[in-house]
Amino acid sequence: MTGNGSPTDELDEMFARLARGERNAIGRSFELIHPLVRRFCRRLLGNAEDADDATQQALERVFERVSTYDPSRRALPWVMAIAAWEVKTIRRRSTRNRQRQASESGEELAGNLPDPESLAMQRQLLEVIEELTLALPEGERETMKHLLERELGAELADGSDATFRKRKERLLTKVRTVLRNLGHVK
Amino acid sequence: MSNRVTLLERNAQRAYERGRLKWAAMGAMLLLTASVLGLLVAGRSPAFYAVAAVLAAFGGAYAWRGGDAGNALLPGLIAGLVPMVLSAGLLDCRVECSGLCMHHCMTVCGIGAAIGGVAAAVLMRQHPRRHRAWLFAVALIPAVGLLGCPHVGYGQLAGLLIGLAAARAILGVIPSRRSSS
Repeated sequence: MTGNGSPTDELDEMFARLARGERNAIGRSFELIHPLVRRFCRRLLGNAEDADDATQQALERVFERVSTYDPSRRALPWVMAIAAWEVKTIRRRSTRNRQRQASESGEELAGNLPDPESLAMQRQLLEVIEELTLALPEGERETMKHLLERELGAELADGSDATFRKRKERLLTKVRTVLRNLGHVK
Repeated sequence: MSNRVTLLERNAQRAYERGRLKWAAMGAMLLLTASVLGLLVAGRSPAFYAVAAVLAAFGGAYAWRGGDAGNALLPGLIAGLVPMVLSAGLLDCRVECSGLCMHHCMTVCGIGAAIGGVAAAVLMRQHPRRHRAWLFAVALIPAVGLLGCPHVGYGQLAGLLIGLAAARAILGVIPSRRSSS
């Protein structure tokens, strides 16, 4: 596969080379995905420290798994799905820490009330998808939005958390509505 | 900031190598399991298990290294099936293999390896560095081929190596004829 100049095509090509064991593609791949992953994590987590942790974890996970990357798939949604997983892990850790601190200080827990971070995350995810696809040519943009919506939606879903699943459904509905209003889907 | 980025990139490189090692170990285990199962079914002697271990080690190293070696792994294994199937089908040595039997074994292994070597060249013909990739592929042929032999012996091994040399000679002649015409 040869790139036609688009950064996502170049990323696809770099990842295909890494999957084949061409180590000289590591540097360029890192240059391409590091800013995207960092921005993604910062937007979703807000807290710079957590975002840096998530970025580091996500980048390590991406490069560790890239040998199993299937070159017939687009690389960007694959990378962002891994980053979304790391964001979710960091969020869980933060929630657990907060719960522990709250129980130690004897405060009542919020119970089933939605986590403010989750709500903020849902709002921001829409903006992030928009931002990630901004630099793409018009034809590719629509496809990439669908791919990101599918991959990130799946990764952010938590099978053990019914509330979060419902929130994810609402988020996907919102994404579809936005895309429909923009004329990307019928 | 740039120090942090450098550190992140170094960690990414380490993670990549870790991933390749896991990937290679998985491939090697798969190869070893398949070989050992085949040898158990065929009831072969312990020496064959050492050959299977060598083959798995080569397979793992190729998968880890990637590039030309990684591309040559599958063609090498496929090409190695030729002498393996020929040996398993045509050789029927009893306890001892010497004299005429050894000569027969060498011939069968040699022919099998030569066909395998040419097959590897055909499989690698589209590769941008096909000569290098071919060498990687044919390095696997003796190990795969030996698994089909009734005994692991110098005769069989010599036959395989002679066959590969013959394949190299055949392949060396073909391009020069093409360029002269």
